Amino acid sequence: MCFPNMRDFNLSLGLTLIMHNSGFLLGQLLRVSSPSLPVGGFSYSQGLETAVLNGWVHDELSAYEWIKGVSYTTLRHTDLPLLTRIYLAFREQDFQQVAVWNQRLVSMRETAELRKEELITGAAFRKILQLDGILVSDLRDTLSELSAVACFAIYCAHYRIELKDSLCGYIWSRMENSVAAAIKLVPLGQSAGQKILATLVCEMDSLIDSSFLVTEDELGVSTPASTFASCAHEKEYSRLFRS
Amino acid sequence: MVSLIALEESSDLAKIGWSASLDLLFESRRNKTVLRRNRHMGPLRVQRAFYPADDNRCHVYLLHPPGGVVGGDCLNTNVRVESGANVLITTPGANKIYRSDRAHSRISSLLSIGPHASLEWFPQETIYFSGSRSRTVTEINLDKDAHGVTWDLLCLGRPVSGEKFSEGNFIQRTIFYRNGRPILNDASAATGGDVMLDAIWGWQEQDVFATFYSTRIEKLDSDWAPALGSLVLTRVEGIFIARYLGRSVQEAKSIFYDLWCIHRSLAGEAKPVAPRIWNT
Repeated sequence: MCFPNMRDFNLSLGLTLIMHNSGFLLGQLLRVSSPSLPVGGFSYSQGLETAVLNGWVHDELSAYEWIKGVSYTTLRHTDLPLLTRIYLAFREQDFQQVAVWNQRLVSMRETAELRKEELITGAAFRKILQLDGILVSDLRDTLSELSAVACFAIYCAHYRIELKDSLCGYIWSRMENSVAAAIKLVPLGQSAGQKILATLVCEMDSLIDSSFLVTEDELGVSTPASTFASCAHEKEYSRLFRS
Repeated sequence: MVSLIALEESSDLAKIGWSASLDLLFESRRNKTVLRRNRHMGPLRVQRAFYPADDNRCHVYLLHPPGGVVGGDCLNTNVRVESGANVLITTPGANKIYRSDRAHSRISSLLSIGPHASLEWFPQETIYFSGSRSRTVTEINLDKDAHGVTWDLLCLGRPVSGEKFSEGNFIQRTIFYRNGRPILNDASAATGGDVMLDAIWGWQEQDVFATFYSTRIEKLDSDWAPALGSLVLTRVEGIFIARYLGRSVQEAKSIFYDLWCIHRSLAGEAKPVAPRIWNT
């Protein structure tokens, strides 16, 4: 481990502490980074349930590979770049642009199940924005249908949580959700789940950096197997997770 | 956001590659659809409109005599189907995207379907040669009560000659708009040699990924049992989507032909006759 970056890190942390109350900021971020609260992302498995039924995911390693492969492809090309764009547009108070990116994100959810998840969790998240007085009338008029990603971006931009921290919070909520689903479905033990999370956390920085490089014509790429699994899940006879 | 890669590509485009464009407009006249405007620039054209079936649907073949696309090529197709017109557009053969060292090719189709009009857009499969680089975007704009049926057939590499997609990259995107609002933005992509191609979470070592879209089908009868395992279905914002992941583009086409028949019957139209050119 080398420390030159730690100095910068401490410096920026120091600045953050001067400028804001970091406990308050972290608290606000943690409030929305849990998959069980506040918006109920926990009831969906993004196709993992089908992947388990099909035998594609059957142990710790295959669970890790599925979660990393599927989530990181989608997060890198869809969720994170759009979260970033919405965050920046909101900071500029450009609500028209917020609406454009929000609609882009929704249109990139390529199965009925993924779209329903995005909009139902978005509607639940919208209530938090209302509760916190973030959804000002200009914005309310432009946005009838808010995605969960857009709500998350608006929330973080409003509280001036750093963009990278916001992205970490978002990735964390998706990772925790997927791993919790894998623990139930495969099934896996808690320590196996922790091992998967530990490995995924190590890759968060490179995921965020690569999402910054995604150009507009690269947005929205997912993987055939995940799309397949999500479609098939809508027809499964018995399910633990919602469709 | 300014991307260095994008800048580099656009300067490539200026240097090499062929540009071609085609602009078609169809109109309904006395209960018959006619090709009213047919302008082209470069090697992309249609020769004539014809009426092989006993209906008012106008058929055209989109011809691209070079027979393949190389890096730097830029093909733009613009189709407008006016109110009440019915059109079928297909191509005489597979669209081959050849290897390119650096420059991407860009293929863009903008299809506007007017009120009470319909378009059946069935380009034959795109074969991505190893080392090819391309961006393909098909945009379908649906007016009020407009209907469309289309497919996207992607083949990775040339399995017959043992060529895997080990280099290059592509993104193939289909976007549906309803009254100008984007309702579905569906992108498939692959990077040559990427772990995703073999991974169980990615392409699962399959070479063919194909998608069928219909604005008419809502759901299929339970007795409709396609090649189970290789096909899944969903529906978003009034667009029915069937997806095939497998090894045979012929198998995908034959399943999609059955879906096309269902689409036609829901429109109160006769069972379609597959364009003769597909058999050659």
